[in-house]
Amino acid sequence: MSRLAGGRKVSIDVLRAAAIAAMVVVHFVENLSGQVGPHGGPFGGATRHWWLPTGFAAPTFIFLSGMSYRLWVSDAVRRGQTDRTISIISVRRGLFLIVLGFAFNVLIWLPEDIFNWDVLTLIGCGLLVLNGARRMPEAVVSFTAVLLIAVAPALRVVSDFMSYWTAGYYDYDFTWADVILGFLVTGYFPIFPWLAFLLLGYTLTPRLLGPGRSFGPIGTGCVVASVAVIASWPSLPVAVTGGHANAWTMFPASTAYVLGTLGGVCLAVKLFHGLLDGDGAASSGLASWVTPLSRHSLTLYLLHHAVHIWPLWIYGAATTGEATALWQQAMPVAASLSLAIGFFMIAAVACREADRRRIPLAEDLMRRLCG
Amino acid sequence: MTAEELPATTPMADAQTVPFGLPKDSTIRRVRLPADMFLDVLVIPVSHPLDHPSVAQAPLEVDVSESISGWLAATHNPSRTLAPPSVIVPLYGCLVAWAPGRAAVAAPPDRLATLEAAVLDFASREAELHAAEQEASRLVDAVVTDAGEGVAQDEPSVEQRSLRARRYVEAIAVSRRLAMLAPAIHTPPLHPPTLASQLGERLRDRTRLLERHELAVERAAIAERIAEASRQRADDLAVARQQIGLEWAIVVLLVVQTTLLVVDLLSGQGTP
Repeated sequence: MSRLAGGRKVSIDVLRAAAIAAMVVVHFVENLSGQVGPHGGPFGGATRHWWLPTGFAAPTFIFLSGMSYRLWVSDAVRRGQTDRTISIISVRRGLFLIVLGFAFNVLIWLPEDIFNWDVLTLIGCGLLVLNGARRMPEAVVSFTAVLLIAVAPALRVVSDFMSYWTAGYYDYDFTWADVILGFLVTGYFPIFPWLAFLLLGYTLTPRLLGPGRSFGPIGTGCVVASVAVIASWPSLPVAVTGGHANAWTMFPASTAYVLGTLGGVCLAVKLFHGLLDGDGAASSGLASWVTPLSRHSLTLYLLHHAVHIWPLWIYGAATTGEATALWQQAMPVAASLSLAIGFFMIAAVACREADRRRIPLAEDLMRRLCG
Repeated sequence: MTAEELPATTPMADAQTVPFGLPKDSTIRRVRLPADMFLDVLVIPVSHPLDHPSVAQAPLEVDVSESISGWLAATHNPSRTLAPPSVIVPLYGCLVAWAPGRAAVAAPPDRLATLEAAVLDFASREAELHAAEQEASRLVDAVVTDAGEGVAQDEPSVEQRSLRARRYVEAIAVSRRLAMLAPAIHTPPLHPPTLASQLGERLRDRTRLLERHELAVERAAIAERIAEASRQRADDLAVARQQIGLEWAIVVLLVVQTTLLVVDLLSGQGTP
């Protein structure tokens, strides 16, 4: 770990800012204007190729969380922090994100969706896993990630994944079986296979940020494997396809989708690292915009949901008596897209100001509580 | 281990010109020694042995001994900072001097070749020993540093493992080099003695070649022991790491299998 150079990586900041921007767009458009189903709107993605890039947002965000954890541990070791201290901070942060994830689900998606297993709970669990994984041989961690990806389709078949999804969203009952199955397989971001992004982000960091400008076999190999899976989708066994007709789906995260996004993120990190992480990059004009966005990505994730979901619920309740009545049909796509862009521009300026005036945000709260 | 004469075109520094006042047919030539070292040999033919009464009655233009001493002192070899001081051996009316990088022989023409061959033979062995000494010292420092790093590390990298293996091989190579040199350094005195054998013995004694060889052997042995221990530790750690990896892989497989069972069980109790 000590091979990793210290200092902020502009490449990671750029990609995280891009992931947050894509998340803002996809959530605004799909929650305010989207229609569900593979053929009914942008949500399905399979028949809307122009919408496909938004599917890279979550994998990029989760993968970069694994990379950031690796860089943080490396830096902590270099600063002389003990293994016990690193472990305590890791566990606290993991638990903080899990609790925050549940609070977010209750406050944003209303109490009945508390166990929808969103990104925050996944990353929180992932930090707990990574705290153990950092003591394991890297080959085993990578092997675990490969298993997570490989077994996920079979688990979806066993658990009858699609029976938990109604009209494009996750629908479960408050039973132990549903909650555990949601956490493992059927939720929005279940452990199988989404944890693989976090684990691979952790293990691939030295390779992606190491010397050499070649794109390497990992990213290219994943992309090629993804294309091969898509091309041979109809002839693949159910254990690989999970019984789904479309080769590229985010919910569930199909094998082709996981491999394709993984390869894309690896190539992007390698490319941006070669282009942006030179001397003086941290003080460049680009960094002055993307670094605050990246640093406050947790705040932005929470905030962008609050600013468009809460008004949607309030307006829906006021006009129809049902809070969720206007979900996905509140306005046309052009309007929701404009709102998303407007929000992101304001957020970019606000994050810079927050940094300049040292205004504490969600990340600062996490650091104060967890170390 | 033999000296090799360089072509006549080999450039020599100004300081390597024949000192003033010595006989006009005195020459300097540069000889290549083992371990990429050189020896400038000043050959001074004298008409009579230096202890001959005729020399006392009709002295040379300058004192040969002083000229040789001055010439030897002018030598400067940065790589030989720990080299023994210069040695001057008067022997049966001849004068042989040696310092790191330089040697001088003043003798009647009929003894010059013998003495020159003897001094070159000695210089070759000394150069070889000096190189081995330096290598042994460097290795001791390197393996001690490696050992310190190795103790502090739980997981040596592939590069570090190969570095430690290379150090071990280097230590063995130095030991071998010193072992090959031992017969020449530990040569028993010839009987009956010859001019060359007496010169060789005196040069070996005056430069403490025997003690230096023994010290170098000890250093090489220390380097070999530490390098072997470091290499063994690195290999043991790597093997242990592989075993731990295998155990973890089994644990992961068991966890995945358990998850499959749990999902299978729970899917029967689920909502749908």
